[in-house]
Amino acid sequence: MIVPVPMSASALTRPADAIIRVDQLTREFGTVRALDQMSFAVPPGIIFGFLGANGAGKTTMIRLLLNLLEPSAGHAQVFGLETRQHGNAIREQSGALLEFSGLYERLSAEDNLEFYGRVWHLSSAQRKARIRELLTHFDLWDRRKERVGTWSRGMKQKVAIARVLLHRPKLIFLDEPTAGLDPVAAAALRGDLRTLVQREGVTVFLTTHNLTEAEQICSQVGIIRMGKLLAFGAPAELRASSGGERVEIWGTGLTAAVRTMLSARSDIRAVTEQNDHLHLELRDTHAVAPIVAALVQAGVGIEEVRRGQASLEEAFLTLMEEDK
Amino acid sequence: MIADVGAVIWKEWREYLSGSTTGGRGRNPLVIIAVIVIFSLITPFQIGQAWFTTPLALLLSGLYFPMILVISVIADSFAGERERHTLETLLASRLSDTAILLGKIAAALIYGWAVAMVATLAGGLAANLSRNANGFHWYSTDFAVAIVCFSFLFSGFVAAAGSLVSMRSPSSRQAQQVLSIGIAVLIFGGVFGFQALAASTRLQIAQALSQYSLTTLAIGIALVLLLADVILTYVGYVSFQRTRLILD
Repeated sequence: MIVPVPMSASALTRPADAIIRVDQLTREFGTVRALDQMSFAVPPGIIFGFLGANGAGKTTMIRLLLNLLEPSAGHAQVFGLETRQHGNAIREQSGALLEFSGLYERLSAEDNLEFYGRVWHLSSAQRKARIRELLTHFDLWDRRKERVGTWSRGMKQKVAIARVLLHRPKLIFLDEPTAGLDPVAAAALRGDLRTLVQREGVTVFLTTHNLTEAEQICSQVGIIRMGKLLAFGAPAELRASSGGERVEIWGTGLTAAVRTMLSARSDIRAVTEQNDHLHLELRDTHAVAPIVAALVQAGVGIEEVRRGQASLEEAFLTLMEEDK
Repeated sequence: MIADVGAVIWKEWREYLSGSTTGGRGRNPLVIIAVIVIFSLITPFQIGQAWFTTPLALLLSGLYFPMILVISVIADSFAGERERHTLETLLASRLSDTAILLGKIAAALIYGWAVAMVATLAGGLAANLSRNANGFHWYSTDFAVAIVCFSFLFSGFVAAAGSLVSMRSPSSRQAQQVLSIGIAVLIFGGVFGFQALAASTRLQIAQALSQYSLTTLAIGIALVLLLADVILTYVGYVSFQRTRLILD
């Protein structure tokens, strides 16, 4: 049984210095409610993960925060500014990589960045230096004159990320940024984001359904389903709230009788057989030694014991299952 | 604001001149420019120096060339960006609604006008190169001013109308079709509408117009076009809604 982090509107909108504050935000498209009375606050200088399945409302949230869409009800503030009234000021200080890379495919990588450098009023010298710095960093400098339309999705994504970082925004919205990137490039991007947050105090609002990624880089996450916020907090809190610790046991003699014996114990909530080992879910945080001793007494030849917590993915799936 | 409009114009021109090899715009602007320059040479070469006084020069350079050129690019301005998924990123930038709209209209206007001017100059040279040329002739000042003004104003008219159509069209191709048909209906509707009037009415209109000099009439038409440009641009500004542009 998962216990979501407390989510009363007052609790979630508490941080006084929040860079993003959402209060009872609702957006409807005809009869479909894409976002349903959502409230939360994101403190500055962190990577915040907004997690949900396809169609959960992640992209709609980014559009509302950038005032590309108007809310049907409720409020949203970014940098302390109401999105409805101050869309231009919010966009001025932000950078966004949306659902699509948004690159002009008939233009070169350099021209794509040159255009957005002009849009953000970088001087000619600043544009030149920053474009060189970013394209070199992404290993694309030598190909800067090529039309991006001929490139792979991963390469385009790198240019799109370079475009987001070009003007050094204070707040970055990234909608599935590692989609299409190879594992090496995705890991490098995660490293870049961490560095950006640590060194420059940038805030990153990241939507993803890659939960391993969210677990690796996000200080806080919000989990949504069908426009509703199901849970909000640090990944560790969410993992812990998904139901105590787990123990995995490899060995010989893990028979049905042994499983029955374990199931009967008060400190074990569930026992499952997974491939060549047993998976035990503990009730609260209990010591493992008595369990191991009982197994040895029952004649089990123990080869390996691993103790751990539920992953964010498991917590996410449990939440999804419970909300059905 | 001027820098923002300039940035949009820079991008639009970069795209025009990159041609159309992988979908996107229905016609390659570079091919259209080539066709127009060739076309602008053939007719004056055949007509000779009479070219400098024929209304055909005004019709081609002041109306036809700007129309073809501007339609070929303005239809793509919003609809094409939406099709290629670049519009939302543009709208998520710091650019204001006005800068995006004016930048796109101005880019198409300057493109249509500039190429029409090049075609006019090329036509003048071709007329002087014809077999029956007698010395070097050139457009009179009045005639040149009329060509410059009408091509500018008509480019602006098509650009402003085109941006409106493009904002509401699901695809670049559809915007191009709607715009071509609309302009054709406007031009031919006027001609055939006039023909459809009773002979006495036509005579009355002709008599009423004959009271004015050609210069006065030209200024009147130019003012009407200018007013239409301003009204259409304003309607475009009012209609420009980020939320609608994304969801349409």
